[in-house]
Amino acid sequence: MTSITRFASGSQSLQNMDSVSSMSKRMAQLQEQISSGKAIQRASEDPSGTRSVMALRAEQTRMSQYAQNIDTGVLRLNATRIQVDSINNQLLKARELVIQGQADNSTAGSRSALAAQIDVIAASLLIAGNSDFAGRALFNGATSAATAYNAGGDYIGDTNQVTTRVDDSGSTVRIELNGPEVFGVGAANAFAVLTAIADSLRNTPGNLPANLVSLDSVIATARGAQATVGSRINQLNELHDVTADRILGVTGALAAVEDTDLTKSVMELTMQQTGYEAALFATASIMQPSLMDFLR
Amino acid sequence: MATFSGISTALSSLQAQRVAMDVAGQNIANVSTPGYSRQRVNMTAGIGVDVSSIERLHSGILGDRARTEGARLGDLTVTSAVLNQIEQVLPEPSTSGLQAKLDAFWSGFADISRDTSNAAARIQVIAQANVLTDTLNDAAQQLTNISASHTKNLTNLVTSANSYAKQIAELNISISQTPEGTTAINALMDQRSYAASQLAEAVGGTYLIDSSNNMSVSLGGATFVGPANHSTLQVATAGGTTSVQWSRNDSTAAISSGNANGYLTAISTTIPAWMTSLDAVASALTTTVNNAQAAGFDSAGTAGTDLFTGTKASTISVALTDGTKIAASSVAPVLGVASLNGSNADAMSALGRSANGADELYQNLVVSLGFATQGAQQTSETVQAFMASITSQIDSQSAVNIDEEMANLLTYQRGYEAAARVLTAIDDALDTLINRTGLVGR
Repeated sequence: MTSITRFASGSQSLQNMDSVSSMSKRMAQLQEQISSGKAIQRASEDPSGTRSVMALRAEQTRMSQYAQNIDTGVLRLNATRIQVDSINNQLLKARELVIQGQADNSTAGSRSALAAQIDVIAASLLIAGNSDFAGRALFNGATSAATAYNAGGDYIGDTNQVTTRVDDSGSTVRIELNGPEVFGVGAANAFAVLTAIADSLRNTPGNLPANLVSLDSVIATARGAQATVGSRINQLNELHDVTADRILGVTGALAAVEDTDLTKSVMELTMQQTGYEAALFATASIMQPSLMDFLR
Repeated sequence: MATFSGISTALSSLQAQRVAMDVAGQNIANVSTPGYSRQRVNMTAGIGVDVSSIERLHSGILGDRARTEGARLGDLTVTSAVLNQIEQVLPEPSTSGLQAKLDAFWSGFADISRDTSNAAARIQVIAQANVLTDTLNDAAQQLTNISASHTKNLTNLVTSANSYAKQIAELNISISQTPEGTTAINALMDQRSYAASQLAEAVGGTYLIDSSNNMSVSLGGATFVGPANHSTLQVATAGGTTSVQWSRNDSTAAISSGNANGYLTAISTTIPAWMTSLDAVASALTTTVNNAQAAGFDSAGTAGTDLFTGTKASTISVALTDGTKIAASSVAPVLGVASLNGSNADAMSALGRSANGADELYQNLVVSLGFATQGAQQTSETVQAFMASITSQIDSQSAVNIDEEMANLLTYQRGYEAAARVLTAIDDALDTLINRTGLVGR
C-alpha cells in the first residue's frame, strides 16, 4: 500500500486540471513559435541564444554597411578610372604631337597648329581634372572645394585621403586619387608641362626634347595612377565577394539560432496535442463517476 | 438488567447514527470549501453508544510545512513576476528593441561616411539618436512605474495581512469559548488555519499553537498575533526607501518571506539594480559618442560638440538638432575650407563594437536579465511542485472523498434502520409482556 491511501475528490480534479493546463501552456508556446517563426520569444527562454541573436543582428547590419561601402567605393573608383584612362590617352596624343613638332619637315606654321591642338588637350585635361562624382570633385582630396584645379592649372585641393571601411578589423581602402597623383606635382604637373610645350612649339622648338622628357614623366605618373585605380577596383571586387559570403554566413547562423525548426516544432505540437486529448479524455472519465452515481 | 434499558440503548444508537449522518452531510457539503478539514464521529460503547467527540482530521505538522513553503512560494512568485515585467520593458531579441535601434544609429554614421555632404544621412542620424534616447527614457520610466505599482501592491498586501491577523486573534477568542470535540470548534479551527495560511503567504512568519489551543504569530521574534490581540503593520516610505513597519512603534518589521518580501526586494534591490545597469548603457552611449564627436570636425569645419547629454537612462537626451554638426571629418579645415573626409563618421559607425560600449553593456544586461528571469521561474516552479506534493498529502488526510462519505452515510443509515428495528423488537416484546401476559381467566 502506498503512503497516500486516501484520495480526495477535490484534489483529484485539481491535479487533473494542473496537468491539463500545463500541457495547454506548452502547446500555446509551441503555437507561438510556429506562427511567429521565431524560436526565442523572450530572453529568458534562451539567454545565451538571445546574446547570439543580438550580436548576429548587429553583425548583419555592419556587414551590409560594408557591402554598401564597397559598392560606393567601386562606383567612385570606376568614375576615376574612366577619367584617368582618358587623361592617359590625351597625354599620349600630346606626346605624338610633340614628336611631330620635332620632325625635320615641321614648319613654324605646322608647329603653331600643333600648339593649338596642345591647348585643346590642356583644356580638356583641366575639365577631366575637375570632373566630379555625385557632386563631389574626383581629384581634390578631401576638401569641400568644388574643383581640384584653378584655371591656371594650379592644384587647389588637399592631400587628405578618402577611405572606406571594409571589415570589422577596421581595414580601409582608399577610394580616391588626388590631383598630384594623377597629373604630377607642382611645376612638373601635366598642365605646366603642356603650357611649356605649347610655348616651345610656338617660340622655341629647341626646348622640345627637354619638354618630351618632362611629358614622359607626367605620362609615367598617369600610368601609375591607372594601375593604382585598377588594382584598387580589383581589391574592392574581391572584398565584395568576401562580404557577400559573410552576409550569407551571418544570415544562416542567425536563422539557425533564431528561427523555429518547423518540422521539429510541428511534430512536437502534434505529440502535445495527442497527449492533451488523452489527458482530457482521462480526466473526463475519471471525474465523472462517484459512488453517488451508483447508489439508488 | 432493567426492563427498559434496551429502549435507551436503541435510542442512543438512533441519536449517534443521526449525528454521524449529519457529519457526513457536513463533509459532503464542504467537498470544495478551501481549508476545510473532514470530520469524523468517534463513537464509544457504553450503555448503548456514545458520541465521544467529532474529530477534525488535520495534521499540525503538515499545516506548518504548508505555511513555510507557502511563504517561500509567495516570495518567489512575486520575484519571478517582477523579473518577467522587467523583461517586457526590454523586449529582446526583437527587431524593435534597443539593440535594433543602436544598430540603426551606428549604421547611420556609415551612411554619412560614404558621402559626408549628404544632408539626409545627417538628419537621419539625429532622428535615430532621438529614437534611442526616447527608448532609454521610456524604459527608465517603465521601471519606475513597475516599482510604484509594487509599492501599491505592498500597501494592499499589508492591509490584508492586518485583517488576517485580526481574524486569527478573534478566532483564538472564539475557540477558547467553544467546547472541544464539536463541529463548531472544528469549523473555527479550519477558519483559523486557513487565515494563517493566507497570512503566511503574504508576510511569512512563525506560527505556534500553545497548550490552550491559542495560535500565536511572530515575525522575526516580534509578536504579530497573541492569544487575544494582534499588532498592525504599515508601509513606510522615507528617503526613497520603502519598508514595512510596526504601527505601534514605527520600527521595521523583520520580513524574510511571503509576497511582502518579494515586493520589498523588487522595490529596494531588483528594480534599482536593473536601473543602474540601464544607466550604464546610457552613460556609455553618451561618453563614447561625445568623445568621438570631439575627435572630429563638422560640416563647417568646427570641432565637434556633444551629441548626447545626460548619463542616466532617464535623463539622456540629444543635444544637437542640426545634422551638419555631426563631426564626420577627422581632418581639420585646410586653408579655411572644411574637409569632406568621412573617417570620423566611419570610426563612429564602429563604436557599436567597442569594448564596454553601449551595445556590449546592453547585451550583458539582457543576457543576465534573461538568466535571472529563467532562474526565478525555475525555482518558483520547483517550489510549486513541492507545495503541490504537500497539498496532496494534506488532502489525502484532510480533504473530503465523496465515495467515502457515501459509504459512511450508507453505514450510518443502515445502523439507524437497525437501531429502529431493535426498538420495534423490544417494543413488541414489551407489548407481549404487558398486554398479553397474565390474562388467564380474564
